[in-house]
Amino acid sequence: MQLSEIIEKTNEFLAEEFEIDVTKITPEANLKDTLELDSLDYIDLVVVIESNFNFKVKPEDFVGIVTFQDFYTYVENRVNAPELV
Amino acid sequence: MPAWEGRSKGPAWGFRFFVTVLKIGGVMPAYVVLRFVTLYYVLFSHKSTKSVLHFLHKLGYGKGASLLKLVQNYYLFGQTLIDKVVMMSGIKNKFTFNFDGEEHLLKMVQLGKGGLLLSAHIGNWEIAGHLLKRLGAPINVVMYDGEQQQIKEYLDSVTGKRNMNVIVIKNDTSHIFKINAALQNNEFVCMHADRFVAGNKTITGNFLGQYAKFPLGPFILAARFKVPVSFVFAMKESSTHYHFFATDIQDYSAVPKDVVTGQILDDFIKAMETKVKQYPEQWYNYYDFWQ
Repeated sequence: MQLSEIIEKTNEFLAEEFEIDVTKITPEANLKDTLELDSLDYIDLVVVIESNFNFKVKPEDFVGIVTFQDFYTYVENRVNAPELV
Repeated sequence: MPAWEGRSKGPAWGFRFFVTVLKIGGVMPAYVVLRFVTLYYVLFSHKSTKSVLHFLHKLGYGKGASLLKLVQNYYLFGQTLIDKVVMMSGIKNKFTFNFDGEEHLLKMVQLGKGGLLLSAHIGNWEIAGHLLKRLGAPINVVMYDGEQQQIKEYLDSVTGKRNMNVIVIKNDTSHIFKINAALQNNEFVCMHADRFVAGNKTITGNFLGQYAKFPLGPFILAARFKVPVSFVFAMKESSTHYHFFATDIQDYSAVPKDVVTGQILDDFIKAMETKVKQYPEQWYNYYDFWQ
């Protein structure tokens, strides 16, 4: 999946799920502050990531994700990662 | 604010004393000593006493009956702490159990989607967790780190580490991801759904005829992760016998998003109400539970 597709899809479902104006989502914006996430919101975040991109979120994945750009990079790496056998 | 303050009862030396009595004399001598501790709490623990009497009043008990049940409540609570140490450390004992609904939990294991087991601070929830070993599936217990560190370390040294994984609720979000990972691995995740710490998001439900706040987290987890749910309790029926209950599997995957959380809460409250009416002395939320 191309990065541009990932960005478009991500912004769309995040704006819908967390009911914010999509124009507020910019690569350098802080993910947690922009989406006003509390700990319970991460449950919804995990569910929308897994259902939209079809991979399982691991506990250590969100360490170091601060901005939306960090998030796009994370998703791109996971989506395009080769399957381990 | 009707929230739990985040700390359990009892000083560290109290735990050490009881463990010494247990190791030397066994369970029954410890229960005898417990009677004096019970008297202390009845006489001096005004805040807890007020909360228990308020609860018993809601169940329809008059003054005399409530006072008797209050004494039984403190005594039984002390027994649950003693029994926990005994069972988890392998001290010789004569405890017996029966298991009601274990087949539902075994079926949950077969479904392969993990399972969320919700309980409350009634009966002996730690024993319930210990008994779940029988299922053969990994158990994860989600909890606040409410014990003082020295009490925790001391009890761990006596009982050995819990043979289940503990997921501690922290200010970061790590516990959410660990819960998700455990469920995806077809493991059980056990958590209380009756107590919250001030500042947590809550959901309101009608419990025993009055609205009370419950922590939103367990119900959101059940609703969003769409895993099988059962409500589990372990109730003490005599000095040596426990009765474990697990409800039939609750499947909320097809319930609309806007109502599912409320429905899970309603079902949980019904299960709790059934148990507290059957075992009114085993209510251990020692704070004002209602708004």
